[in-house]
Parts: sequence; structure tokens; C-alpha cells
Amino acid sequence: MPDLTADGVLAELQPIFQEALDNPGLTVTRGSSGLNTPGWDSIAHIEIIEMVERHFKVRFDLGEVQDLKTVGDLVDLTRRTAQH
Amino acid sequence: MIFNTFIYYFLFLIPCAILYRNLGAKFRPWMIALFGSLFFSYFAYSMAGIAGALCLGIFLWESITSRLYTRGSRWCIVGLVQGLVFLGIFKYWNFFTGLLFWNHANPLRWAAAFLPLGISFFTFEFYHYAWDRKYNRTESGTLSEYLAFILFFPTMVAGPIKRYQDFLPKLRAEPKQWVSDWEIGGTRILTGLAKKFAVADLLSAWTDHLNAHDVALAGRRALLLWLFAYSIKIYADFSAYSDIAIGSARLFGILVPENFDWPYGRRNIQRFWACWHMSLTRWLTDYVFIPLARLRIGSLKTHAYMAIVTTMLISGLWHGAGLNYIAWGGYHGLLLLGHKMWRDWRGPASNKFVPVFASRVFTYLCVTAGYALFTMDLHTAALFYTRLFRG
Repeated sequence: MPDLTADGVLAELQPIFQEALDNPGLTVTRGSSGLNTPGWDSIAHIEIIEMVERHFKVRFDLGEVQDLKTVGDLVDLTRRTAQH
Repeated sequence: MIFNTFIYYFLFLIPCAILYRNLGAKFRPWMIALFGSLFFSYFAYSMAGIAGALCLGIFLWESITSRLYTRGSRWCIVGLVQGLVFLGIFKYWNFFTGLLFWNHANPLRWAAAFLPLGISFFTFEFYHYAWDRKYNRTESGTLSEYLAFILFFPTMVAGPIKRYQDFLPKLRAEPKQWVSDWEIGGTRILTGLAKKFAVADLLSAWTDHLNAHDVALAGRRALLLWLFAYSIKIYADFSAYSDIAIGSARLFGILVPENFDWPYGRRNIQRFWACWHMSLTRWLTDYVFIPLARLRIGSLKTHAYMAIVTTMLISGLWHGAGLNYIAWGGYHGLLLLGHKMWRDWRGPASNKFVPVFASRVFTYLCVTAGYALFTMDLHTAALFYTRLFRG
């Protein structure tokens, strides 16, 4: 069962981002976004979303995916969806 | 071009902006809706006669149905479909029915077809609103606010493509910064006019040669010169429209999205598209790429790749109803795909001066090479490339 605290979700996102962006040394914060994270383009965005959905066994709807701009948004959405 | 007419400035923009700034909050959206309607009717009539002006009815119909869009509602689907139907009928009817009767006279041809003013842009704003209401990404606003959004005439003809949730707070805010808004807006408009007259129109002397007759007679150097001239011209021309639109909106105290951010200086094709016609790129990402990529056909990477190419094909078709535009979109789809695969294979890009400089030049050359497809029909473009590479 994944840790669904904000810090816990952020910690579990680290290996997902590292794998999706092919950057083992990467550490993302709540403020990380496509604008300040190398390699986080539209395709990587979709890959990250799908990996997060698989990992946390959740499904985000299209509108929610479109609203995601930062890692913080993703943490909050994951927690919200997983707790329902 | 509407933006270089005195009528635009002295009959519509300046009177409307002054009245807008002096009215109470309740009346401001109605003022934009009124002037937007007059603007549309006047210029649509001058371009396509009474039928063109009657297309104002599309806005009124959309504004009525928009009141029914609520989260998850079927009316949102109706809204999405009707936006595409308007665009499909006016812009693509003859093109697609012509494809059905390839090499034959098209019995379904609409002989009196015309393009309603700004249809490529306002239908995308209709679509965005219906979609975002469906997913509860924006509030509905009032009828007058929605009318002001779709009839905001500075962005009606050539964008930038706005988002309702960004526009609404600016519409509701009290426009207080008269002096700075008019200084910034006026400067931006003058910048756009200078780009248009001093750069884009001047280059037409060269780019007008991009036609079958001249291409057949020209040598390699002339072809290259014309193509490079076209790359500068299209940027100067289109970014000039955006400058004027953004500057015009600023006279109201309304900030609309930027559309260009030095696209030719970018180091890869993905960054180019993030900086070229940015409001369209964001629209296509949100309403075409992400929904397509989420369909999950094939492996994760495969369907993301397919979604990229499909999105760019649609982008090409949006730019014009012709096979050359689709080919141009496909070309950019393949460039984006090639870049993604290259990065997956080679890892992060180097930050050393020479590779960075070389990649910027290479990106510009790739973009410029594609303009032959954008500006000429397929047959002429093929002739252009043949003469360029074989002599």
C-alpha cells in the first residue's frame, strides 16, 4: 500500500520521474514542472501520468491530466484520487 | 489585412477601448460584445457580402447553447461537435468532397463557399469552452461575459487563441492603468505594424516568386534565397498580427497570451513548437495530443508517438484545406518524432557551445526546408525540391 501523505507520494514519484525522464540523478520538488525540468515534454508528461496511475492504481480523467502543471499538482491529484 | 486599416483603429479599437474603460463593470462585457458584433459584421460583409455578415448568427447560437454546458453534460458534446461542424462545413467541405471525387468534377462542390471571418480561431475557442465546462475546468460566467470572450475583436481574426479561465479575471478587473496600458499597447501595435510593413511586405518581392512558373525557371541560389526570405516573412507577418492583437487588447487593460518567443533561435524542433504560435501549440496539446495519447492503443511509447504525428497532421490541416498543408504537418510530426527518438537514444543534449549552436542552426534549417510544402501546392513543392536538390 503506497504512502499517501504528501511527502510519501512525492518520495514515490522520484523513481517514476527518474525512469520516465531517463535521469537517475534527478530529484523533483513540488515546484518542478515542464519549464524547469529537462526532458519533461508532452510525451514524457503522458508517460509519467500513466506510470503514476499504474503505481498508485488510480485513473485520472482527461480534465485533471490537462490541469497538471507541476509535481505539486500531481502529488495533490494522486492523493485526492487514491483516497476516494 | 484588417489591422492596417484606419477603420479598425478609429471606428472600432480606440472608441471601444475608451468606452470600455469608462463604463461600470456590468456594462463592460456588453460593450465588447456590441463592438465585436459590429466589427465582425462590417469586415465579414466587406469580405464575403451579406452571407459573411450573417455568420454573426454562429456566435449568437453558440452563446445560447453555451449556457447549457455543465460538468459532464451531453450539451458539452453538442458544443464540441457543433464547433467542429462549423469549421468542417465552411473550411473543409470542398476539400474533402473533392477528395471523394478525385480526378472528376465534384458534384457536391459548394460553389459559393466562403470562409467566415476568423472561423479557424473562434471555433477553437468554442471547442475549448465546451471541453473545459465538461471537465469543470472553468466556470460558466454570465452570458455577457461569454459573448465578450468570443466577440473580443482584437483576437478574433488571427488569435492568439484565448482561454476563458484566463480571460475572465481580466474582464472582471477594473482597468486602472490607463497610461501604462496605452503606452505598452500602443508600442506593441507600432512594433507589429513596423514588422508587417518594413519586413514582411518588403520580402514579398522575393517570396512572390514561390509559384510553379518561377520555380521552373529559377536556379538553386534563387530558390534558396526565396525560401529563406519566406521563413523571415512568415515569422514577421504572423508575429506582427499577434503583436497588434496583443497591443490592441492591452488598450482595454486586458492581457492575452503571447504567441511567439524567438522560435528560430531554439535548439530543437520541440522547443521550436513551444515558441511558435504558442497559443495554438498549447491548444493542440490539451485538446488533441493528450486525449489521443490517453487512448492507450499499443504500447505506451507507440501510441504517444502516433499521437504526436496525428496531432501535427491535424495542425497541418488546420492551417489550410490542402494536401500540402497535411504534408507539412506530417513533416513536422516526423521531425518531432525523430527528435524524441534521437534523445531517447543519445540521452540529454550537450550544453557545449558548438553542439548548441549547431543544433539551433539545424533546427532553423529543418523548419525552413518545410516551408515549400506550406506555401505551394504539392506539385509545385515537389518541383521546388527537385530543382533545389537536382538542379
